[in-house]
Amino acid sequence: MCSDRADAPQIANELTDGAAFLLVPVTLAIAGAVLRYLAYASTASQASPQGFVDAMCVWDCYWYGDIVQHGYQAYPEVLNFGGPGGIANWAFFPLYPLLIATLRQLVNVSPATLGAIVSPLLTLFAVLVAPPLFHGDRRAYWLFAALLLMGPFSFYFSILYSESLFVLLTVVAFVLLERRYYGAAGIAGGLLSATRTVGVLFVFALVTEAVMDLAARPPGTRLRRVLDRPDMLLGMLLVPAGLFAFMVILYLRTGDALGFAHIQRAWDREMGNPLGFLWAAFTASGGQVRDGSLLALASVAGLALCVALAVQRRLPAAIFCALTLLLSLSNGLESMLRFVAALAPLGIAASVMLARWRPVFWVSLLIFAVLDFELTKAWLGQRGALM
Amino acid sequence: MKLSLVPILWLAIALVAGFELFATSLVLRPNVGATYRAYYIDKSSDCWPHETPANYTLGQTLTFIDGPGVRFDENKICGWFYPNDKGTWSYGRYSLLRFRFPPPGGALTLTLTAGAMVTPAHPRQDVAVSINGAALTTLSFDSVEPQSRTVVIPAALAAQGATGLELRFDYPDARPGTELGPNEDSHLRALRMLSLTLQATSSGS
Repeated sequence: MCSDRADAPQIANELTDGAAFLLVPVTLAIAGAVLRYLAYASTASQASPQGFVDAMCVWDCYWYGDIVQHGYQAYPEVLNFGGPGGIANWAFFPLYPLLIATLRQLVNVSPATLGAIVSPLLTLFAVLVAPPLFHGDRRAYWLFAALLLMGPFSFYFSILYSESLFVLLTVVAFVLLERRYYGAAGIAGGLLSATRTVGVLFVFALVTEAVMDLAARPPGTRLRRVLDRPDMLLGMLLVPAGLFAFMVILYLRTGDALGFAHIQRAWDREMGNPLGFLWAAFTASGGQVRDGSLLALASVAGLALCVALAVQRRLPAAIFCALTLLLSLSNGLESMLRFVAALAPLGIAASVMLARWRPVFWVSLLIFAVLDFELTKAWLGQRGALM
Repeated sequence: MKLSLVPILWLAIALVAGFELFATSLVLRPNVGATYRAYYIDKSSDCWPHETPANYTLGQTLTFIDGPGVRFDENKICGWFYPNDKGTWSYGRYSLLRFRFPPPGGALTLTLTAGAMVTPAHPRQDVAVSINGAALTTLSFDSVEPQSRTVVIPAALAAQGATGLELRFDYPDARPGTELGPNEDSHLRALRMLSLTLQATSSGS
């Protein structure tokens, strides 16, 4: 199977040359890790590498660690954990904890420690495979690399959270989709839907690309194209396969194939109107969501970047990101900042815009580094907006 | 693409589609218990029953506030939100607590302090109190600010404390939390409990 796009850019030939392709991202990754460690050291009474790993492992990190060590629960918790319902670890999709559990067979360290090693590597891989998505815009690419590896939200990509794997698979899926490798993009999408709930929405990106592909051809040849390229349909079917596989696992383990959705009740998450949640956060203070107005602002910024993606003619990515944000928002504002940060195409859109002017590019790099330090401190302090 | 690949891809399509249809069919036939189904799937119940030791020392005041003090956690069965610094909201149409203690040899007095989910449009919350299925009284609350109420538990009921005394609050007037503000959880609420005490009733009462 080969690309249909004659002008499809080749990795590393236009963008980067030789050693810089590897050295710059690795340097950024190391710089980011140093900044985050310094942020930790500035708050810890006795700083140590293990203390750093443990301090960074908060909130969902415990859940992933639990799945890595014990697998999925058979039944919701009947002991009182504070809330109205019985909690269970089914809300967390299997691919990332499965990866960590597999690696743990080789290296017997704590899940949090392994996550702190593996997640930055996955993020680095994401950066290394991303160049084709920049269509020769070298400065935008470096800014994107800095955003992921040394940026404000790089702490999400350096701990036992699935965000790093999600970013890597998103980048891989869109690189393949841009080249119209539908089958391979479908496999990447399938892995994406086994990583997080919203991964399944990649199917809409694939459908959009397929429609654009068909629309560009003479009307009489479109059906022939579909019949000649069954990988188009196969790709669409493969994307949700990861989610369906998780459903089968949950059914066998718990008896409820939709346990991942039903268990949201234990966290008081009820579906609602996403725009209603946004409006409420902007117009009324207080409420159960911490930092609601900040999260609403992040959501609006994310949606604005979806528009920017469309303007940049990245329609499949724009649709994927917009649907992801709207689906996430339909469960409320909680964690929206993290969801926005983990959408690689939004980072690409922002990087392309910021890198248009050289001074802005350099100032952005500086701001990224400062925010990496400051937001890591906020994360260590368990600031609600970052949850 | 080589033409020879095409039939293989169509076969793959059939296999993947078959697998996904099978997975979808599992959604239609969950293999779960009645309690699970009622709480998580049908949402016909707001009570997910927690296992609780239910141990209690008569006279001890349980706090429902997130902070210092003896929390009600060991006595909670269901029908309560997460505690916060202003107390714990009830969750749904009823709340349950369980207490186990040596027989007191007489009546008990239940003292509770709570604010209520009241608004100008719904200025009153009635709370029906029952123990082990026996109705005791109905309390009325008319303020969001904490108010104290007492209920006498007859000696015959109090004697059941040795095996477990299940205290139930029913909220016929529970209102959605969004009436407090659009950012609040939409679940039904009635009481914001701050503290609760069971103690031997002093002589003469």
